[in-house]
Amino acid sequence: MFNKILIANRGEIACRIARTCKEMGIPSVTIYSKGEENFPHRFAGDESCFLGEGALKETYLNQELILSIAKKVGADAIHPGYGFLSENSSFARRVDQDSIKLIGPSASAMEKMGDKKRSKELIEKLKVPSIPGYHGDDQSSERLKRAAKEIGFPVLIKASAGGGGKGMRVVTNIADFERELEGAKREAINAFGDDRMLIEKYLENPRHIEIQVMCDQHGNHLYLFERECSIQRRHQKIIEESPSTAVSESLLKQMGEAAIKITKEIHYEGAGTIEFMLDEHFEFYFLEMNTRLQVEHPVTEMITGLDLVRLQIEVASGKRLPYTQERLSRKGHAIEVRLYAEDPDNEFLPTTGKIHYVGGSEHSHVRLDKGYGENNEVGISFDPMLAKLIVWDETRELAIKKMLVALDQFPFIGIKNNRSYLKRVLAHPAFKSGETYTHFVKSHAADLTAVPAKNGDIARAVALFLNTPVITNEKRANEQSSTFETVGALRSLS
Amino acid sequence: MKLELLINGEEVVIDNLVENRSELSFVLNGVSYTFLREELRAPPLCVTDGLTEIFTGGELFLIAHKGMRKKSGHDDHHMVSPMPGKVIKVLVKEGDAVKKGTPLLILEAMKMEHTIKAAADGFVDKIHFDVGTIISGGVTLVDLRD
Repeated sequence: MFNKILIANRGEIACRIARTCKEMGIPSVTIYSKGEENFPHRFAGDESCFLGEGALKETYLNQELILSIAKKVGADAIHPGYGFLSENSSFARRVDQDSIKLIGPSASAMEKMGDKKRSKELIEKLKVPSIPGYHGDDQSSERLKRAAKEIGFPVLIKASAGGGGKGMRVVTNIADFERELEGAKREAINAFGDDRMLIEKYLENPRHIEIQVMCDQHGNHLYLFERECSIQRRHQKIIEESPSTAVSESLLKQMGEAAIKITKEIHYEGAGTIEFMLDEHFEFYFLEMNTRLQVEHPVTEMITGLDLVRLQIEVASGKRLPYTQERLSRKGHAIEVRLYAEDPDNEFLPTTGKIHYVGGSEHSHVRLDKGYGENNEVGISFDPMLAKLIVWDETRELAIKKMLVALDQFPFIGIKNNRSYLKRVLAHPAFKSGETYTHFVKSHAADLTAVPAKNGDIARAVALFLNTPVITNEKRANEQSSTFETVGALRSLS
Repeated sequence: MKLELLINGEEVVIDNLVENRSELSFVLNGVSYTFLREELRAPPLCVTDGLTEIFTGGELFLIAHKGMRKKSGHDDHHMVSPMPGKVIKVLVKEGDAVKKGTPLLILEAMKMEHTIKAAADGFVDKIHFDVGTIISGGVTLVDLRD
């Protein structure tokens, strides 16, 4: 087993990985940049190292710096989390050359799957179904436009190196094509430094279904069931669950076996996710493979009782997977929601501010993976995800109920966020009945707008406001250090 | 006593407010309410810049005394940034004629783009920021005139 693990990431995922390291008795080291001195991930491990100031390429994407930190602290393994360097094959290669183990797949496996164009070619060879599209080398806008015409509108323009909805556009008619292409290219060059584009057929009523895989160095490949992540806004997932209401046991088996066919072909190692689109006729199409741990991995953990980070660390150290496919089982239903600092009533645009109060829950099977704590400032430099809230219960109906209660336990006061919007989605009849398609947010937009507050609730808020001790100027000066003291004052009164 | 409050940006009038040591009562939108002070269990709340955030009934209420805080936002002739970010493209020049919906400039935050469009027909009077400027949320980006 490893002596020390460097966690080359930040926020909730760095905290999540550090937790498992702690449970396994492996010392861990986290990193942080200027402005993150008080962020939870700085204190999540046993040590932390300062990355300095500057753009991401100077800090979290700075391969040289991260490798030098790993050597300085004596780490013999690096966990890259998700995003940042997690799918960067040149980084994987450099880590390997320095005789440090990257907790993840080999550089060559990343290269085969990381580039959407190359992965599609491989998928065709394996006869795993994929969506009709153009992924040629001729990137001229005339050629791309012709491809769009041949495939037939609506089409999806997608960055070859992309992910997270960046550099991605749906185009419904040819007149908009060039403008959308230009926008997608600009986003892609900013986000990935690469503006090669793919054109794909846009499916009308699809679900996003993905298969979690876990593979060891001894040729054992497992699929850990499916997750449905159809509820998305701006092409980014906001609600994930397992099991999916649309996936039968036999369909799961087909999709799982297709996933394993891919991982075996590329001698995959560690955790990964094969993403599929599922159409209304229960036909599935390969979308992409993420060669890393996924944001929504807790959903799988809740239904299987497995710790995926622990399994990642174990297989990276050379251990065999302790299960066979037949022995794996799942129980109940898990749902995850992503709490974002954003304004759902204003096109989901990111918001900034300071968190005064997070909240808490003592209910069973309620888990909050958070990257920000009280008094942390949420700025524009990083992804606006505040936390993930995950619940488990015996049935989907009970899990939805539990999530609605849990969301009221974590208000994240101080920064405008999507909490209330998530409640509206979960309470929507179409969500409850499992009619979850990737355009859910758009097609039910009218039902998902803010509901006016009830008069009685406003009255109670007014009463609470009037009952709050008057804050003097002196007190306000002290508030700079403790904005939350009024609550303490109130509590001592009652 | 009558009291004017701003609740989530809307003006709300509280009538017949009576407060004493043990209870408070008032009329809101024609309905009378009485609350015992001891029943007003402290909810999560916080106060910044005269604005109190109160979490009750599963929802957040932002409350201030009227006059302490102005509602910001854009009218037809002043395009206000809806979020903090960076100006990545300016699509018009001062003096240009624009129609309602004409894209004026593009903002970027967290690698996502947002287009600021003209809210009315008119002419571009002033563009307040150049490409590359980091701006905060709620600042005026472009002024239009008739």
